Amino acid sequence: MLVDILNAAQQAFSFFHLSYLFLGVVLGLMVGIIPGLGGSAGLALTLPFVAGIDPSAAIGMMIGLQAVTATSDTFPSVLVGVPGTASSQATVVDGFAMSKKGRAAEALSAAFTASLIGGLFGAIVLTVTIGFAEPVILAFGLAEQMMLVLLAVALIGSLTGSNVFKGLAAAAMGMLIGTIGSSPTTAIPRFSLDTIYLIEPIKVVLIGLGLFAVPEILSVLRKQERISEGALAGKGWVQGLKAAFANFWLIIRCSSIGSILGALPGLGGSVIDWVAYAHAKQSVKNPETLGTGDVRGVIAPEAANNAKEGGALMPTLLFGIPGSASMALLLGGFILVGIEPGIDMIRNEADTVYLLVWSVALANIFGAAMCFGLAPMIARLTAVRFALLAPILLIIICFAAFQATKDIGDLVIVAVFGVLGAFMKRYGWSRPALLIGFVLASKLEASVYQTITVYGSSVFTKPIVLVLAAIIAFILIKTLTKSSTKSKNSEKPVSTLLWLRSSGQLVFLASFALFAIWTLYSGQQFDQLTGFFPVIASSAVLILLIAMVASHFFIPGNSFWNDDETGSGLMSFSTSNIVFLLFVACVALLGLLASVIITVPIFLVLVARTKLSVAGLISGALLLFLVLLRLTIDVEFPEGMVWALVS
Amino acid sequence: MFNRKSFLRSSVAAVLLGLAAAPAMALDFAGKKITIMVPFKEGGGSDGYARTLQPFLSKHLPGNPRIIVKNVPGGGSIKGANKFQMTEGDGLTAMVASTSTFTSSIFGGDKARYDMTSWEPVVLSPQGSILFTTSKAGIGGMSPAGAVEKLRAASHKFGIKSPTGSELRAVAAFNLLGIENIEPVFGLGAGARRQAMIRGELDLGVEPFSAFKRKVAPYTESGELTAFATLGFFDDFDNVIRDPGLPNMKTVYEIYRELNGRAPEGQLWEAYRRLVYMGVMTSKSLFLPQGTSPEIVKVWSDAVKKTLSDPKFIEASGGDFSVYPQLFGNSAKRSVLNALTMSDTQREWFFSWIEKTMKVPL
Repeated sequence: MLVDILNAAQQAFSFFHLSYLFLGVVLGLMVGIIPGLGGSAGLALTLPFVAGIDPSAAIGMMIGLQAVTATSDTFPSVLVGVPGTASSQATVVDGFAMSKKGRAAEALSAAFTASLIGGLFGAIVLTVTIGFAEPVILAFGLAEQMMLVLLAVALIGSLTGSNVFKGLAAAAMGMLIGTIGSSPTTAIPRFSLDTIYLIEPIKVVLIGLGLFAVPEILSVLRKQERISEGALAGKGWVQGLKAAFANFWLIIRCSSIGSILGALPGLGGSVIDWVAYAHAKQSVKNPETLGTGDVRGVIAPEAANNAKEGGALMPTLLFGIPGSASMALLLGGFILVGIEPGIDMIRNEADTVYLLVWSVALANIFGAAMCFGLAPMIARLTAVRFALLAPILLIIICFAAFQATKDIGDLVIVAVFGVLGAFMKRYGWSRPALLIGFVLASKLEASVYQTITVYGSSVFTKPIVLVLAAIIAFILIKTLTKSSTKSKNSEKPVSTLLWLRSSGQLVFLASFALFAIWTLYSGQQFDQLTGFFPVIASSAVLILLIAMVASHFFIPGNSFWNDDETGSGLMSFSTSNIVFLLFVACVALLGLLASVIITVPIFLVLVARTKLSVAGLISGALLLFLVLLRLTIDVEFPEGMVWALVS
Repeated sequence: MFNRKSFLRSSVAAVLLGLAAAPAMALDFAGKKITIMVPFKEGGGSDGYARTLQPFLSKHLPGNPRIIVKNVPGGGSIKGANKFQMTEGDGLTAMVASTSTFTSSIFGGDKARYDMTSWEPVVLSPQGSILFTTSKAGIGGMSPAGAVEKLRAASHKFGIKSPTGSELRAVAAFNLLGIENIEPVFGLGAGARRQAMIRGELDLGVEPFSAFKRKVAPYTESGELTAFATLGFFDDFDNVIRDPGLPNMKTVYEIYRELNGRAPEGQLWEAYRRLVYMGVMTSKSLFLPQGTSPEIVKVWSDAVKKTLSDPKFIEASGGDFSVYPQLFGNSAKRSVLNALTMSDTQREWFFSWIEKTMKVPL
């Protein structure tokens, strides 16, 4: 093995391989920074050029590209609150909060360090295990996979906030939303409102953009002049490094989570960062500061999302089974240049395998170094007046959303979840819980059904299943005891008078209940196999909502009452939501480029009160950027329904 | 990205060719942008098919047009196919179709507003299918007919994406051979099914030739999996012949004849035949929209033919295209018709057969 590793190193450090790797890293950094574009977009674009080049060059370029997107996607997550890719959603929570406190530099340097260590950890795990990973992966059958999904479900409990039923209701709501679209078993469309768009399940990136990016942007717009209210972002690089090394074991634990879950096909990057975040919340001292700008909340997901690449390569290389779209493209590229991943390659072409591992490691080092280099310049964004940034960010959100399936429906979904997210943030509903519930829904539904069909009750004779069941029980007990000790010193329930004053929360609660009643009712029309999961999920939502309201009255300290909206800034809560909806509507109707020409200047003049010339300059620059993007890499923009109708 | 030398060279070549064959070469895509639609997301088999062809079609179509691959995913290829149905046949838009584009047109209900028999096939790329089981079944070293008789007596679990998934072709084959005690396990794609078989959780499998060669063959060599039949291949006269990729393995048709002493016929055979046309003969395909002129179709077909004999393409595609005869013109059209034509009674029987074997209502 050592000989193979050294042989591969010789290839890996050759100028030829390094130059292609470098090219891949640069491309990966770019697609990672632009929200909506990720590893899969980058790989899809490079595939036509891969055909026919030398295999080691192709490995360098493709792995370089794929491995660093998880490093550079931190920039927008931390600096402007828009996740760069789906796998850095959890970074937004504490990273953006740090930026708002003027600690962007610290957040970024901690994130890059964690990313680097996580990425290298993933590469080491891959090196050590690839030789004997086959029996390990084979030991995880349908039943064991179901238990891993349940483990992730159990971890949601720690993300729920003050009223545990409220958090669980949000998670159940996420699961219910996850049942929209064709059933993972019978392929019969559910709750698709007779549209073609909703035949396939909603893309998780849209829910992430809606729930996390939109509410943050609107909230900063309302309340703050600049993202960074404190000192400029320039300082804190050293603190970030120190913070990362002070939390070295957290990085290692989260990296392990990342590589293990990464190896599990179908779970995907969008949930790994949250599981790491949840783990941090469970295991660190003083977890209550997480969510308010705690550097550990940045370190945990960033370590995990880089480490996942090493894990995700395992099933791809061993069985030729890609766990995600980007792994599928990577596989496609390998086959194009004549590398055929599979058990044969592991057994007979170890040097190719280790060249891959070296590429992962080197790409992470290059990527982190370049991010450190770029950061001081990019971090200045937080000092810009936010009213100038907001319209650009809203345009980028529309652009990013449209990349999901290139359908106007993408914009509708991001609009719905943007407003939902804004209300959830205001009324204190856990957005991570809803998102994880959503991501796990189809996997949970399919694996429960498959396990029952294949094993029946004999599932409880499997040792790994029993061990995982014990871990799940331990987590649940820990969560419940934690929440009961915490609730003792929480605030008292709010007086009934306040209930009457603000009906918004009740309307919001009622709309959740009504949605669940509708799905429960229309879920009856399906056959048993198609209908069982939506029916269970809608019942769970309703029961948990009732428990939430009951606990509010009968268990002291379990108030579900929450209203974050204090004081008025630039505009009111409703106005900011309407501005957002107008932006999206304009993009849907007139198209992206026309919106840049029309909506952006209007916003800048009316809201940001800039001169017309400044507004023209900003929208011109944005237009130029988008046009260049289109000319160089052929991305698509929403074209506008009006023009289609006219012609 | 832009290679001036090769551009000049090819322009000169184009001019010379144009002079030599001026009357026949009225069509020229020089300076045009051609879109190959893929009704699936990036990274799937159809996407790979399009992206493998992309640079070579650009090289071999007259005028070396710029070709882009545009993914239009949605509704299991229904969205893209509906859009393609409305597209003008000017030769500037083509679409890749896969087996599920065919199955969706049958099972997609009123949402599938497209008729593939109205489209103009440029090329159909067939790919054989192989049936296999695990070592647990204990058929290693047995004759195919003996193996089937042994499998008939046992109960089985078969992983399948959905009740109307393309793996139905294998269920029809199993039923035809009298293997009927099969519990379907839904929600498992090819990769998950293969892994579950290696773990011994499921025991029946089907795989297209190229995936079989890459991902199953290592296990058949080490004895964990055993292949026992191919679904066969149809010649131009609708006769079953041996799979060109695995000519030494018997077909389902042959094993049926051996066991029953006569050729298969009746509704189940008709369903099987249709499913093989969908799943083997039209495994991947490239279409031009309805109403495209025969000249344009010919220019495209010629470009594909030139691509197929381009040594660089043979290298880039890993030889997948040279194993099976690629279908053009009338034989392509005939295969599409054979895959999709169904009388009302046949349709009724087909749907009720699926409901019975899959144990779910459609």
